[in-house]
Amino acid sequence: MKKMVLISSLLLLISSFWSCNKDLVEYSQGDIKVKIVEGDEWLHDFPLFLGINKKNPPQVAIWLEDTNGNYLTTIYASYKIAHQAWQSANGNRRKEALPCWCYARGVKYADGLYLPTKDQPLTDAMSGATPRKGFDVKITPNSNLKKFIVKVELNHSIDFNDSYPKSAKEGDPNYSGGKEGSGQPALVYEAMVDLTTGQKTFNAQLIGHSSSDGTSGTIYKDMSGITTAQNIVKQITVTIQ
Amino acid sequence: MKKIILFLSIMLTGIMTVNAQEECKISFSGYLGTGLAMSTPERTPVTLHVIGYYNISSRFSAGVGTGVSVYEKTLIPLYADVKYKLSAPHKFTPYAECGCGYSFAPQKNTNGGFYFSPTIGVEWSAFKKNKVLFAVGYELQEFERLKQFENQYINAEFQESLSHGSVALKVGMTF
Repeated sequence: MKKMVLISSLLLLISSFWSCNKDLVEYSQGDIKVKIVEGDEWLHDFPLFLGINKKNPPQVAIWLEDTNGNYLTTIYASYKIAHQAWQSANGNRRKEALPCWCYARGVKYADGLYLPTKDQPLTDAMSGATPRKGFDVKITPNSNLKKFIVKVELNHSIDFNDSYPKSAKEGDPNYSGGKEGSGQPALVYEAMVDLTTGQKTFNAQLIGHSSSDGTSGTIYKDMSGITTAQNIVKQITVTIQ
Repeated sequence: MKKIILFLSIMLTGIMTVNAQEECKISFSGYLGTGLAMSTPERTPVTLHVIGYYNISSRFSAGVGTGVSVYEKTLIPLYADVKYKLSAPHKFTPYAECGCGYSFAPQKNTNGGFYFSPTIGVEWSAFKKNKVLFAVGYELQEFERLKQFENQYINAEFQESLSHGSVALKVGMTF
């Protein structure tokens, strides 16, 4: 009986701690919430060994552009691309992961790619482990920034389908980095935000997909051949608090 | 209500521990550990834990562990622990052990999280009273932290959820 009470009390004690967690991001009036709601394909199988798969979240970058489409700043980028911390990529730098963000950012590294390196990663405070479900980022623009575009680019690795197969060869129009590459290319969403209108919610729209082989920052509007990747996110909203 | 549950739990645990001590069935182990990071972001943990056991039989013990775990942030785990000796005591006695609980985050802008560590090890009767422990296993430590930055355009904040899995390597001693 004593043992039962002891074990029960311990379980009670431990379970009570979970409810102590607080929201670390607190919003005040005027703050802007960029909220990504995960879709059915947010987690994607990534093979480890012996047929065991790991469910991986997508690579994500969120950045701001002015109304003319000029890059202003990154808000968030996934840790793996920001620090070149790919696992099982066999040396592939994964330039096809988030090419729109990379080219918009416009920082060229020693190897000629627009990807951060292990030695020169993105500012750590801008990058984070991608959550296993949707998440939000709080931004407080400075007083001069009234109209801007929020862009979000997302991509799974080895997300192959019939249109973007693993077997595609370099130079083929549907080549996506080889067997450790992307498969379906990254998708790009954008929301035009105008703080002067009084509008509180801006829904981001899917505006196209990125270059499948990562050789440019062009956005392609033709979505034929993109299947499951369209369900990585359910909704992206920008909300003024 | 949460505080009441917490208080009662601590009280009950304390009372039962005192009763257990009266029966002289208490033992303690201390572990110093590290690990090989398996997850991204990678972080090699450093852990210093103490576990108090109630020896239910000569081979099976259950208890409570706590200590300090250092990842990107310093955490204080509190966990239930069970240990089973896989053979009768010898000079080298293999055992299996599993700790499961929650780690507190004393630093601000950090939330604690789930802690889980199954291991297998061996007790070496190196001294008359004390035994030296070697263990290897897995350790999962989850927690959340706030990341913030500021530049000429914006201030930005987001909550990063970290889930560190590592191959745990521990050395310790029983008391």
